[in-house]
Amino acid sequence: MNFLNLNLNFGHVKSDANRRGDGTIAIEVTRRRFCRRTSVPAVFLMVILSSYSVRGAAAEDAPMDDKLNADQIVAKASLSAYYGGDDGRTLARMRIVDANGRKQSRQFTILRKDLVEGGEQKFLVVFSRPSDVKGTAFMVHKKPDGEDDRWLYLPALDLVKRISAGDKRTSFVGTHYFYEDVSGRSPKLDTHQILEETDSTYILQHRAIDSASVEFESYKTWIDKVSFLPLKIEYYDGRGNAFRRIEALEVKLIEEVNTVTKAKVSNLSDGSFTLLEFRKINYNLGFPDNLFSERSLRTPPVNWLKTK
Amino acid sequence: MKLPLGLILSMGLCWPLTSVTQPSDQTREQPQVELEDEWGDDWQSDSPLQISHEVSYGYAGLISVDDSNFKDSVLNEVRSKSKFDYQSTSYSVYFELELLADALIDRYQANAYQLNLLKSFDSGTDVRIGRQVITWGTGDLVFLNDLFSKDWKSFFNGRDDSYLKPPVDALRVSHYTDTLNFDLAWQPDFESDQVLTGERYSFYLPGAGRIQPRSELSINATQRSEAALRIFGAASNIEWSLYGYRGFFKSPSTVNESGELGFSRMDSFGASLLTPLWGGLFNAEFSQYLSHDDTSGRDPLIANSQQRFLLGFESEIASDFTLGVQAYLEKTLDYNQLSGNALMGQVIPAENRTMATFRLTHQALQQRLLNSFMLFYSPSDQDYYLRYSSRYVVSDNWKWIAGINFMQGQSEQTFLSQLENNSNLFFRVQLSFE
Repeated sequence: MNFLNLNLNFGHVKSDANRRGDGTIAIEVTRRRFCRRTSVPAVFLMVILSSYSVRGAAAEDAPMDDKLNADQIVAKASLSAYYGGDDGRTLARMRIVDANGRKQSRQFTILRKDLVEGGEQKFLVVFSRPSDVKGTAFMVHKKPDGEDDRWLYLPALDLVKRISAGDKRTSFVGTHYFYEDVSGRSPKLDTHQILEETDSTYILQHRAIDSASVEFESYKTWIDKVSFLPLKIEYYDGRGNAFRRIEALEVKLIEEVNTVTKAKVSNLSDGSFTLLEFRKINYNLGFPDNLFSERSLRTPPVNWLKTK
Repeated sequence: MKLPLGLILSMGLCWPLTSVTQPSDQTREQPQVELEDEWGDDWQSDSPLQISHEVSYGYAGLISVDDSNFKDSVLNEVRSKSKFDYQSTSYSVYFELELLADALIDRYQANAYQLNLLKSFDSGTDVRIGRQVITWGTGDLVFLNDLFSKDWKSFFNGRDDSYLKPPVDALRVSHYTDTLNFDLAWQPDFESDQVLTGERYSFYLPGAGRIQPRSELSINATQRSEAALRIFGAASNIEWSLYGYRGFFKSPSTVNESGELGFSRMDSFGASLLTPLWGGLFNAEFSQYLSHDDTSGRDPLIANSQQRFLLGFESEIASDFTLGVQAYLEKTLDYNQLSGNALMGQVIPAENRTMATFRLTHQALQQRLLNSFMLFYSPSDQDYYLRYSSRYVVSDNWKWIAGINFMQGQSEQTFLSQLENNSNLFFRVQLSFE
């Protein structure tokens, strides 16, 4: 399951947000509850972005009284969360606010292409801010069954640098998002259990099979029963205290795809957080396969990066 | 050891900055943020022209001062760069205007650091013409088949890594296909490495030891062209490249009768591969340098042919810690001819010059802090170079960088050891804005 994606994807969450009653953030949903296509795009950082498209049929296949087990829910959520549209593009910006209120920003354009529905994807992320990293590009060939291939391009040196596999639960470009939030965590790495089922939401608890490899004791996801998109993810320590939360703040309907346009990840221990916003989102642009190659790292593909 | 007041102050300033982001034990309620209030509507415009600026000051003070150097520093400069990037769907123009005030050598200048035009064709061809940076090869600060100019004057005094690869005047044509890719760079005027000539560093001079020469060494420029080719692709997750070069040795390789240094003809070919292995990345590279003007190696005043070999491995050994190791061999061919014909007092390289590098990179404070420790150690020369830096990102606009360049060795004439008296502590502060 890809948490970031899950987090970013959710369909009709207004009623759920109200029920949560946290009151801090208004979640705006611009589509009707039963839409033909519920997906959230994909867009997010390198991997960041994934689009989700859950076909209407998928939603309709899952009537409320369908008794799915936890693994099935996670599998559906994972599928819903990831592979919508054949490709996508978005402009993204992130605001990092540390525990002392000091701010940093990141701004970049993400291009994504799905090679296999539910399988390999390719991403190109080109940074435009802060100004000292302008032109830096990041490319990922995501391989769900193996290590991702990753490259970084540093324009000041004209250097294409292959990046070795690493801990996926460390910061992505200095934000509160982890690489794994962005690139996806396999459902096979965790055990899953249904904690609660409401009219609209499944609340699941997940524990890592290899607990030494993660910083959490468990985490919970709030998954919409119709769209199978997660609304919120919270991570807990050994004492059961939530220390990290990912949540979507705004969803809009874009090109018939339910798209998260604002999201937030919070460190609940020190109050620091990262806000994420997407803008100028487009789907099904018909990216050629070779767009995700060394050429695009060294020479920004202006024709594909520019918004319509 | 003499340290300028500025360096001490900067260290003092850095300390509180690096210690402020420790999380508190107590859970704190998050600030309630209205996105627009928090952030505003500050998205970049769609204008095809983007302009940004960077201003930095750097100072590097010698760790020990003796008579070998004229001054007690090897860096004392303000640089400003303004970057103009125009990207349209049909072509792009990139211009970097640099203003430099180098107090160390009393040089004040404005120059077009980069100025180039890029045209991309749908056929898979990119053509870039003008002053531009070109880099290829698999080494980490070790170069075999990358025969584009390096600025070694910028390597030992705390300037940003990017200054090691200065722009060159070139026509670069890149062509990409599904299986093979081609990269051709033609430079109308040969551009050598910027080697140490004495205006900034002390180094070994035969008969005089480690000193700064009274007047800069004069090196005869070569007006002829050079060309480099790379053919590359990937198969089964192995990235491979073949390289060719026609031009000159990049460092002075010959001495004429009046003692002036110059560059002799050199062609080269080579190959490299890079692949994921054992959870890390493995790379191997080879190159053969053919000395055209001294094919037999008998002329002691012209560099001999060489073979260069590199093996490298890089892996994330723990979360936020990356270790890279490299083994490098530079083999001088026809060595008996060289040593048999060497002049009295002439310094000749070891037949097999070996070098190992270790680089440990550490990120902390959610990547605000980046520490890089790199050691170059040569078993054949019995010398080493410790290159360490810490970079702290204060904000989107401000960065502090501080570190050490430390060179030492057994003999005063080997490559790194000759620079021993230039060992320094440095700091830089950088402001970037739009």
